[in-house]
Amino acid sequence: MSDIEQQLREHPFARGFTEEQMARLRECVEGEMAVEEDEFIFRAGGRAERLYLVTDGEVALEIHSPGRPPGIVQTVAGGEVLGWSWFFEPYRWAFDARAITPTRVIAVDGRQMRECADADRDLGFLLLKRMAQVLVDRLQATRLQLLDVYGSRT
Amino acid sequence: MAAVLELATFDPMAPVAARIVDRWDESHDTFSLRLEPPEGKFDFAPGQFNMLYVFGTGEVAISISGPSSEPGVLTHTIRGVGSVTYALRRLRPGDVIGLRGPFGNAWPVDRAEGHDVVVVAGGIGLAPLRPAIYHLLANRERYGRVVLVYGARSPGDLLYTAELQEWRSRFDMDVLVTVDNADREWRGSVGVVTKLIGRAPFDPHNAMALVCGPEIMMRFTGRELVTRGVGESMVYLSTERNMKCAIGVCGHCQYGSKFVCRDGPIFRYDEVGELLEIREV
Repeated sequence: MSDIEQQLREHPFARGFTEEQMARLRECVEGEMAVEEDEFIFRAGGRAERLYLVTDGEVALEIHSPGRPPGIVQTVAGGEVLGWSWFFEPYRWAFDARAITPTRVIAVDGRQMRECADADRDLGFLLLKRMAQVLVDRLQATRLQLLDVYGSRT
Repeated sequence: MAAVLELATFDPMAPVAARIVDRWDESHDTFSLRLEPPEGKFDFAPGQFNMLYVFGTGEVAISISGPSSEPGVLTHTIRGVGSVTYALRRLRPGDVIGLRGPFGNAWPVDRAEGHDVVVVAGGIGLAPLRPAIYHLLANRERYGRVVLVYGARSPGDLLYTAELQEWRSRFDMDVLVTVDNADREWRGSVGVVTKLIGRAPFDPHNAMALVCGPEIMMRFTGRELVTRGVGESMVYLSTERNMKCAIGVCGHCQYGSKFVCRDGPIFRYDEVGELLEIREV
């Protein structure tokens, strides 16, 4: 088993995949990327063509506005999924993704992954559930952040 | 006879005078006071609190944030949020306040022996947990992995930053810190504290969790810990209610069938998990 296949199997995103589904995922993998600290993996507005599975390190999702320093919305660490815009139209990144530590990611071809999902509805449903879970986790986390729980009396 | 005499003279409602010997800022809205313990020493257990009385203003319950192993030092970390804490903030070394305590129960550091210990703190919730951390580190060989998971509003709101750095540099402790908001100067995690629990290195089936922070944060943290496999009876939460008498008489801090001051402030998740979900409590 190759190193990248081992990492795929160990990544929470692929937990529960059948051998056949794992093989499909493996076919869509473009490769492993080493990202330097402060290097951008993608930028807001760019075409969202890949799914990134973070295997090590940490990536900041940032938003920028004119005249203000960029703000960090959230960080994504090893074992997590970076980006969902590859899965939903119009396939454009909404935020910048900048590595805040030396980071390793597995890059997966988003278009090919979507085609696999269309061709194999079981895989498609599994992917949908995985991405929905990512969305739910991020939505709940964002709501808690918006509540500013530490701003009130503890 | 001596015990009877002591009972007859001890009045938990009567404050004793305590002089402030040091004061320093922990962040833009939080500060610490070091008090000269009455009679030179003050015995307490990690997690207990005192009632601090600013003469002419009022009294407030504040957890003890210093080490319990040094009874000659009595430290409280306070966030300025109301009239009494603002008044405390204006005091300086040499000023005298009233002190009652210690009150409440303690973090179960003895029961935690032999287990991994996950300390989850949110905001000023790190203050009541700090004596427990001191205890864990002073008796390090008695515990499995020791992990601190700490969330704050922003990097400028982090407490005890020098100590966090020191704890982070230890080989026998893991420290994970996150903030809700940050700019690029911050090189650490951004996001809610519950997210870090999944990254924390501990065995959930052999772990005890000590949790303190805003109630919403504790509700989500409790759920996350249990989802990860930590037993409900192994999760301890330090709750907060408006405490007045501190001895379970006045009823201000009623929490379901319990009084926070007398029965708590520390409760097991299996005792209060459901209460956390009830909005009327």
